[in-house]
Amino acid sequence: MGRIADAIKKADSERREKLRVGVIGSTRPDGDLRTGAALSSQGIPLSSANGSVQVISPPSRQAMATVTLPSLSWDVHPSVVAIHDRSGSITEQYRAVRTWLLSRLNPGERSCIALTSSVPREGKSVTTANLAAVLAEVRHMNVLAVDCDFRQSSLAKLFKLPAGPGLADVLAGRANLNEAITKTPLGNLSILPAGNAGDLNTTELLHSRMTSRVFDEIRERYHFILVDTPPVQRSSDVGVIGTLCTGVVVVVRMHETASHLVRQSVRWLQSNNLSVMGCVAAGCRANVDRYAYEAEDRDE
Amino acid sequence: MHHHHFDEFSVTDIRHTLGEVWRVVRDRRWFFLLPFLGVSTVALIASLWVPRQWTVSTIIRREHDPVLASMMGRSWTEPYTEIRQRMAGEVADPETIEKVLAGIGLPHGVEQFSNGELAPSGRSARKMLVSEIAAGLAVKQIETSPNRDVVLIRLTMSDPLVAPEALRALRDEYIRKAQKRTTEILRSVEKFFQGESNRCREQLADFQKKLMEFDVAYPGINPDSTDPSKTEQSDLLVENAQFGRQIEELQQAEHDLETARLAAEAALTSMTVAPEPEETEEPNPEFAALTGEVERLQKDIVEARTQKGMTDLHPLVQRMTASLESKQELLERTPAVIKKAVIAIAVPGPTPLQRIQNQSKELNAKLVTIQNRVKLNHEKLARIERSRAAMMDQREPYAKLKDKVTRANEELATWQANLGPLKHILTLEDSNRGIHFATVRDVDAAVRPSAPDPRVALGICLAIGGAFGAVVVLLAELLDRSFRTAQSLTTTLGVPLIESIDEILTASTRKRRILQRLIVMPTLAMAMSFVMLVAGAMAFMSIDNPGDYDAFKKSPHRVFSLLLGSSR
Repeated sequence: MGRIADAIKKADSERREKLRVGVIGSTRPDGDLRTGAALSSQGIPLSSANGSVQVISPPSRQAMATVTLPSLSWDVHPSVVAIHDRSGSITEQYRAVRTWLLSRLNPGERSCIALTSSVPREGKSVTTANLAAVLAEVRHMNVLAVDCDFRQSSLAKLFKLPAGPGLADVLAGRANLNEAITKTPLGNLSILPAGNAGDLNTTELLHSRMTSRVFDEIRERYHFILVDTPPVQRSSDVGVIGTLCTGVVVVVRMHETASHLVRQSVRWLQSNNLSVMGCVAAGCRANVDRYAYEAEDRDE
Repeated sequence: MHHHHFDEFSVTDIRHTLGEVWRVVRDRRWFFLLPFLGVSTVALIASLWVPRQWTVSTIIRREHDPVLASMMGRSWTEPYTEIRQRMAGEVADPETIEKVLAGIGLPHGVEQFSNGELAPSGRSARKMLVSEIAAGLAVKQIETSPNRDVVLIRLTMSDPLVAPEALRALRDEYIRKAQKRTTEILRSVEKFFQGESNRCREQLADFQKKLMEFDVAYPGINPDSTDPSKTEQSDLLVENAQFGRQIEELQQAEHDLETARLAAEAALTSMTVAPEPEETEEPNPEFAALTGEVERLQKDIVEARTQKGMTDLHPLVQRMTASLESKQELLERTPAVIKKAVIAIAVPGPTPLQRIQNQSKELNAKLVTIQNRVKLNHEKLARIERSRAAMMDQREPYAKLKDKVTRANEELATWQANLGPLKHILTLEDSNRGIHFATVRDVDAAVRPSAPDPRVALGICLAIGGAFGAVVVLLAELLDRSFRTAQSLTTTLGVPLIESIDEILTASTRKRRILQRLIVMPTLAMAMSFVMLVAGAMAFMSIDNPGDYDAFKKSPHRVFSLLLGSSR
């Protein structure tokens, strides 16, 4: 019993230490530092939220530096684990998504990714929020999370920010973009809530020239834009938004969403000439679904 | 080959399959448990309405008559088995049952006309009862010995009150019918035996007539009796021998006469006459013997007719008569005396030639007569030989016919031997001293239903619940078309899988899940289990102890005390 208690104490102290000190890009359990190296090689500076960082200059390939993660006193929804539990395993999984996305960027390239799903409640808003949070961990990378789901907007709720003014208000001309974009305590991360579309037809709003102008502008301002879109089976908005984005990522709720709906949605996106970059399997049951999940699956 | 086999079904596959099974068991446990408990409970409650079958029985003993019992082991096994079978069938005959039910006024409380006849609805109710009883009635031999039978009559039906009453009446009817049937069968057996005896007698008479025809047509065909043709043959042979001697003597005499004629012719020349031969008469011994035989035969024939009672058609009498006739014919031809010619030696002197010539003629005539007789005898002998040969050919059919006679005699004796005791039994039956019946065990009122078996009923209800649960699990698995593995996702969509994100369990979600897993579902399952246990106890009690079940229905709060009581 004594040895077990000692082991638990030791594990506890190590965990606390990890919470205090985060390792960006190298938080895999095996301590692999390639992600950070890869990022620095692309010339993207890694930073902490408050900018108190050990800068890795782009040309330098010594790359990785340990940064002290700030203790955030930002009250967000518990499902935004990237802020709540920054060293947790799920956050690490989001970081892996981040790595995958960043690895497909050319040096200096900006990216706008739309996240969608087949049906509601698959976890695309939570994925958008968490992904935005882990992307904002990258130094000097300005990240904007845009909520384009006017019918069921949830991004602002997740970050516990004011619901308006938002994108709908900007597109309707009721507010300007600066008023709509909300800065978060995580310095690199900004949120553009859905806002209040009111009686306006959202599809028409998205089809307007204003939309492309707004997207052009935010693409100018931010390095990485994540757009939370309505589900494919509910609305065709993603078909419009997708054309303004670099690619589409489909979030699939494991064990819940019917496979044929997902397949149908992906085919629909592809038939609309949208670039489906990949999919994120959400809601996996730990130690169960990974049973058949081999390394080669990820390579595909 | 083994290598391929190993590759096709690798340890990984087995592990995967086991993992899938474990996943289904773990994920779908409530899918199974709740339907199982629910459906089992419903099935157990429904089992309360399953029709119960009540069985009542009675045992009767049938003592056999000692005479009948002693016959049983011999040639009577089959007819008696038939008696048993027919009696068992007759008691379950719908007509008999209807008659019995009419006798005791079952079913009770049906509509009747004022004259006591059943109304159509009552008739229909009785018909239904009859068919139910006919289907549920069974007659079984518990013990069978030559001395007695022990018979179990069992009735299974849905009404526990009607069953004993009906069975008692049916048992009495069975006994009455059994007695009647036994007598009837004995009479029919007697008739059969009598018919068989008569048939045997007729057959025997026919065979004997044929035998007699054989005896007449082929005398001596019976190897056990003497052959008359042999006697005739020997007689003819003796006669032929005698004729041979006579011919020799006559030829000698002829030779002497020739000598005398020559002498006479010589003497004629000297005028001397030859002396005339002298004739002497002697009694013929053959005649005497034949006379003796004729007398003996006549005496035998008379004796056979008078003392032995034989008719003229009797083969022996016929044979003797034929022999007598032949002997008499022979006797007529046989001279009583033999004339012996003493040929006088011609003395020198004159002998009349004419006399010698006459004598010579007489001698020649005799010689021809005897030679003719010899020829006749030869023909007779040949005829006898031919008839004997024909008779020998008929010996085999004759022997077969004799065998048939023997067998017919034996068969007749058997039938006659059985008929005697049978008549004795029938006399006893007529005086009501035949087979006796006694009730070994009377009809008892049924305490609990015989069907369904409580354990089997419970088992079936639980099996139905289990099957339903399994079907629900299978359907849930079949209808669940969601993605379960990352591999299936990439394979199906054809787009890369970026990452698998574990389920995010917030504190409230975790709390809700824990509440659901540890409190809500177990509580629900326990509540349902309790309901199922109560339903099971009721179902079991309703079959195993209907009295307690009725008491429970009247005051349900006694369930605990009853349960405790039954557990003790």
